[in-house]
Amino acid sequence: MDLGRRVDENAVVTGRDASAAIESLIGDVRRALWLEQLKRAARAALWAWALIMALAAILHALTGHPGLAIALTIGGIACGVALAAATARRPDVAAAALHADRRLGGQSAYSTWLEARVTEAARLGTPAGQRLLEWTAATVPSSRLVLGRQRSPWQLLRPAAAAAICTAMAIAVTTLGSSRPTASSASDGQPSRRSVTADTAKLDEAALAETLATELSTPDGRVDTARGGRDQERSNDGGGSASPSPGNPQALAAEDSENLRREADGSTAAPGSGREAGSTRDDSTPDAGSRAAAVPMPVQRRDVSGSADDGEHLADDERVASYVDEPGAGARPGATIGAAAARPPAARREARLSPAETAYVASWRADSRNAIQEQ
Amino acid sequence: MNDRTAGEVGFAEARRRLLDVRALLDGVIVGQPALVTDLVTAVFAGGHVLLEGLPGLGKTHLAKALAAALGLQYSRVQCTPDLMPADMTGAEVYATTPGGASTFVFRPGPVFAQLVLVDEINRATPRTQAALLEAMQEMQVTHAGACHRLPSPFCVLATQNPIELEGTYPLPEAQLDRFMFKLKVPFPDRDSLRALLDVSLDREPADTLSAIATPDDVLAVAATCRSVLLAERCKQAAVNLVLATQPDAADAAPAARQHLRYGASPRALQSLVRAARVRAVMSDRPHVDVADLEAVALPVLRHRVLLRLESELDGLDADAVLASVLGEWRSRT
Repeated sequence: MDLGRRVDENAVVTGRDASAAIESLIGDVRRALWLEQLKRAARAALWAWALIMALAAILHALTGHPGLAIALTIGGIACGVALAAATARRPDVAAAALHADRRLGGQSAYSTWLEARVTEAARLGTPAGQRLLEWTAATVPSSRLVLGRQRSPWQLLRPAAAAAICTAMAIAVTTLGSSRPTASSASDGQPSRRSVTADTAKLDEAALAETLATELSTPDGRVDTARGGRDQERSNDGGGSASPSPGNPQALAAEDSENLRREADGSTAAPGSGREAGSTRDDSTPDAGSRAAAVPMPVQRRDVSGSADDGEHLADDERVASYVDEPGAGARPGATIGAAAARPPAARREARLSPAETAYVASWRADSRNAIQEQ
Repeated sequence: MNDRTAGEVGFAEARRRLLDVRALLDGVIVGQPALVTDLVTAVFAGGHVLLEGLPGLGKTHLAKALAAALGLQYSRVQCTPDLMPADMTGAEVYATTPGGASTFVFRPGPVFAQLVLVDEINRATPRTQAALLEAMQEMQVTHAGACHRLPSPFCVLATQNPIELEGTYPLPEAQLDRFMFKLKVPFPDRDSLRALLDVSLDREPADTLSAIATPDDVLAVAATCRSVLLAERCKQAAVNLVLATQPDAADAAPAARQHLRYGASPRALQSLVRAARVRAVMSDRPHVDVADLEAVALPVLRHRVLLRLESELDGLDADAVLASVLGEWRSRT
């Protein structure tokens, strides 16, 4: 009787050992599955990081957006979410048993044992249940062996290399892109915008100087005034009834005054008023379109609407009548006709003139001086 | 072991007996190990078997050898178009009792045996074929309002010839569904043919075969097989397999949708699991695996699915379609 009880106790202990061995294996399988899940998540996170960096570099090269900080933030969030999800989603025991059945030679024994233990504990006491316990416990060593062979490496080399390359590319593109005179990025746009504006202003000044020099230079290289050029054209076009003659300084002054007023108002001269071709609208064409460029030339058409305080030198309309009070006073042959009497601008530091403007002012001053002396 | 049901044997003993029977039949039916394994599986699972093969391949010989090995009461019915149901199930005859009185007594037919060989069953008329329905499913025969129980174990082995179909009556679907397995008897290979001369040239091995088991042993092993554990995973796999053959089901395999007109019945599901349990015992396992289901899927399902006419005209048969269905099912399990 004692011997039989001892045998029964040994059987129970053996059963407990078998159950412990099975549970240990399922726990190991569960950890292995979790680790595999983490490996996959890490690989996916690195690939996602590389993709995000590559996309950020491409987008930045095309549009100037987004900046490196935004790309790094998005990539960090994506990687963090992937890793956190893989960490939080630990495989359950049933999944581990199923994996052991499928991949570790369990032949459905682990699932059956788990179900019998959890839902039908009484079945483990039947001959089939005991045989199942023996069979499964005998399978544990081979399953553990297969599990040890199944452990795969992390295989992070390629995704890590891709992530590093794409990150370096994104850094290079965003860094170089912010130093170029292109549209500024959101992150470092303000200094770039200032430098671009300064460059544009320099270009405008140079263009203005070149244009004025072209307009004021005569074919023999001598610098002439704008009025001289216009008078030359007026003398060439035969002198229409509406256009003043070169020998009529009052009419010329009045016309100049009117033109200056129109320019100041932003309006164009009437057709046939004697201005250069293309500078006015040609209403004679069927579609009433202008032969001038559709886009006005901002470098030539200076804004003169401001007051005298901004340093612009404008003709004084009120002084025209008192200045040209004698016909033919300024119409000496070979002498340039002075502009309508205007006060030279006050010499200020910011009112620097270009060489062409300086030549114009010098000529104007000489003519004015001559006219005063003649009076 | 204290919870063992009456007549149940241990798993090791059950496996040993199964393997012994299989080994004995392998020695008699040369070169047909798969056929013998399936036949033993069906008998110990309590099912009936439809054997299909050309004449001379040893179908009748196999049935006789099985009955001899298991010590089962054996009877044979040779089906012809003029065979009547009473010729199979039995009839009432006018007899005189020992007391001198005369009365009608029921005289059991050949179906009252533990292993019934119904040879060339497709040559019997549908009426005679239908007489087997109740016997195969209910294990009883009703005659003149009286039910007569059939002996246990009870197994019907029916044979049919795939050629010479003139004058035959193909089994209806309801009749086919009663058979657990439909086994095709293949033509033996060269080595098997050579070995056949040594085994059965001058003598009939089945006639000299001594029983290695009794009908009670068969019942005990069958009871042990019924105690094999079945996990939820395997139950789901069996259900999925049956549903995969249903062309209108949402889980149908693409091959089933394309080629099948009707799929397997719920009885096929039961047969699948019962046969898989015997296979598990043969594999020395107290639990069913998906591999057991897969091993018995083809003989269980091949006569329970109906092909579309277009597929039949294309030369397809049920085995080819089911092989595709099994491949799809295996990938999803």
